[in-house]
Amino acid sequence: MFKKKIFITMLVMLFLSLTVSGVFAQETVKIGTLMPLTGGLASYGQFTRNGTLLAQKIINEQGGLLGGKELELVNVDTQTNPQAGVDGAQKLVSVNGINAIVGALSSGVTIPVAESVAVPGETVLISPSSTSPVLTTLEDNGYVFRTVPSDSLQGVVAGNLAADLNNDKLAIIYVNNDYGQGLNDAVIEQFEKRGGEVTASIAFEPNKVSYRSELMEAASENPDALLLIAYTDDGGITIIRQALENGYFNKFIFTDGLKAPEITEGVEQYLEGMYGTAPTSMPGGNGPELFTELYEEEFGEIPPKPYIDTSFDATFVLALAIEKAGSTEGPAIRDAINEVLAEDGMVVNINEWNKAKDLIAAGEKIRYEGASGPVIFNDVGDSMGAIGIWKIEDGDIVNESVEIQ
Amino acid sequence: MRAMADNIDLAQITGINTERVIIWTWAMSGVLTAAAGILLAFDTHLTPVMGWNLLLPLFAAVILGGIGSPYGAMFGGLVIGISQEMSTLIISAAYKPAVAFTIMILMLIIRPSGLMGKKV
Amino acid sequence: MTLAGIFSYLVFFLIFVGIYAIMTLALNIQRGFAGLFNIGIAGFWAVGAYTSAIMTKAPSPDHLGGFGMPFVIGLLAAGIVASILALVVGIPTIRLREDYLGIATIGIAEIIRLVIKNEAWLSNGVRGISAIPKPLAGVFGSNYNLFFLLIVIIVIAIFYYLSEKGINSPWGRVLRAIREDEEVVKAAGKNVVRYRMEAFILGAFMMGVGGALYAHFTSFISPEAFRPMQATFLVWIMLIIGGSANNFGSIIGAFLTWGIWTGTEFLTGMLPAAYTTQAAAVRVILIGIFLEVILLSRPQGLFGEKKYSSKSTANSK
Repeated sequence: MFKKKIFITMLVMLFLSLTVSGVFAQETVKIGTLMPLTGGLASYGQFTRNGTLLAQKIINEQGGLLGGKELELVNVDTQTNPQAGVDGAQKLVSVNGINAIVGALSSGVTIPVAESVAVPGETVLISPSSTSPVLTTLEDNGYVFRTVPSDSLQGVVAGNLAADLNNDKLAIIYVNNDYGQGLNDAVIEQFEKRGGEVTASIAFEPNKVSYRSELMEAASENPDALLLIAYTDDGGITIIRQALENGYFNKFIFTDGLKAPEITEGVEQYLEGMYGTAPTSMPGGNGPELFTELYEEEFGEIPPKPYIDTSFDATFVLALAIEKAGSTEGPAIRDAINEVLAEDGMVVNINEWNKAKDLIAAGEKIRYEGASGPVIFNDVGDSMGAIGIWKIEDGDIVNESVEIQ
Repeated sequence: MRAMADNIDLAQITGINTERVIIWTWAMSGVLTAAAGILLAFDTHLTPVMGWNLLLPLFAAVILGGIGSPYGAMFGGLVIGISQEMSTLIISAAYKPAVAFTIMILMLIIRPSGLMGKKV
Repeated sequence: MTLAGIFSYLVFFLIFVGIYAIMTLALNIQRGFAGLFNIGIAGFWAVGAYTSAIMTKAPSPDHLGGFGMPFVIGLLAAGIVASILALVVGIPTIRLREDYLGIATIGIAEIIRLVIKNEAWLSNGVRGISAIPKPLAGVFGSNYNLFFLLIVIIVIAIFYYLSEKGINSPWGRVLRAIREDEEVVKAAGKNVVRYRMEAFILGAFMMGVGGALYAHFTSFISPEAFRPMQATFLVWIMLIIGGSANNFGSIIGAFLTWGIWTGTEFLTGMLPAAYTTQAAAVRVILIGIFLEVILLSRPQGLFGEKKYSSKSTANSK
């Protein structure tokens, strides 16, 4: 019995020491990041985190913020899961005393974090990748932003693309989650507006070994092309292969989740000349090129994964807002975001933190030419965005043109 | 092997080298699984979790066929696989994974010993 | 960084522990006392969460309802619907051998998840339900979490009391006897299936209520929240750590396991930023090691099965 008590006391003490050890730190300005480093989106989280680290490096090299204090990033792993994400966010807010957070990636984590931590805790949350339309209408007291456009934008462009490629009848297969469904609905609406007919719209469960029955159903009314909304690692590649192998389709249109070189491996000749869409940077400004250059200097070759640039931008924008607000209080940061950013402001590039500080000190507004293009939020905190069209040429992915919304 | 499945202590007493049997059992199932993995990778593409994704339908197949019956397992696998693929003719494709479980639960209710298994 | 900050995180932490403790108490009734192998907790959790959300939310065109009912009605409805589900699931499967019951429950949890994902008229499908009302929101201002913790504690106290009471009664004695040897109980003329069913339904009721509390606390639920790892297996770990068939152990198990689960974050958080990616993986390993250490040093869990004796046995001795 005595032994048991000692054992339990030890465990409790261990836990307490863990909690308390997070408390000692020097005077810095902190921004939290909520990135999935384990779980379903781990392969993205690693690189989006690099995006935020790059922003931190640039800011600290140019003298930090709020009068020379260093910017510190505190990351917690969301495990791509809402329970863990909400807990982590609360930790950032309460224990680390942070009122500005970059994250989370998936809408399924971002929304509960916003509703149960960020809004009640008066904390600004900027998601670099949650594209769910729900975020637009969230009652967030203005605390929630995102540096990506909503799914509905890409759906419109993809629907137009399908019509422009002279397809009269279109079949859609989409991954069964909020991303897939949102995109699917938007595509159908736009394609039918253009006079086309969607013969089939089929949701698929990720990670199954065979999608032949879905493909058979999709092909049953002889559509001209298949619009595939999927990720590479949840079944997208399997669907492409099985579609080609059994001859269900020979014309494809892809979305951003499949904008990755793996999709053509071994089947280059069959996918030659196919088109796809993906959110991309607004034209004008050289943010994207500069970002690629800086990223590769720091971390090596930039992987063809999305949301690295938007993560950088989210961090940079938060730093701008903190500098403008002159404080790290949530409400002040929230108000400062819209005060500091303006479409017709003075241009600041992603490596010009010093210039930004001077402009803020002079009371000027800033047009931030971000890594993903100029970052301007509309009145519900969504980023204005652009959707790019890409094409497969000689087995490589080539960007074709950009549609601005 | 069958003796061990029934009663491991009794098997040991009658002089069966139980550890060796266990090792061989694992080795055989390892070889079979690896072969299945290679074939699956030919058909789809290679991911670290491809086996995990198949785990539940496999349970269903074994129960359907009857635990302890190799032919039953093969037959169960075929039935589950084909019925999953054919199910999209009747129900939404999104419910495809549910087909395996439904068959499994029905089987557990009607005949827990499986199609070809012996009565327990 | 301030004391107030740590306190407010502690409150938040305890709410999560409390919700998990409810799940663990429920599983303890099913597994610890009745020997039922339920690995479909996620299903009951989801049903409870969705039921309460639909019952209490203001009317919405996105999903069934909402009916704008008070919070307490939502909780009760969540428990009742989860119980009905348990009854439906239990009728065919409760007589099965325990490993078959396990496979059947996991299959049913998966079917429930698919239904929630695909029946948009019911649950708004993959987009989830947002803006689930928090009871008496606005009255408590910044101390709201403290109030919610109080609700959770009250619910735990009620369930703990009922569970202790039940298990010390003749009913509980029969349950434990069934777990040890079904045949003997049958021979004694008890209706084994009925007893097991009652335990299954009671546990499901508690899981439903726990799910409802989760929904109200996070205000947003989507099918993503009910994956087996966090919703089923974590509860099992808590039960095993705390010690099966011990209500108090269940609560402590939930506290310790969730503490390790989130506490390791602080430990790996001290590593230099360059190692964050590795740190996340190390954390998972650390969690595994902590749990292994506890299990190796105390295979029966921190608290083994409590010696229960009801008055009638005490007298007969």
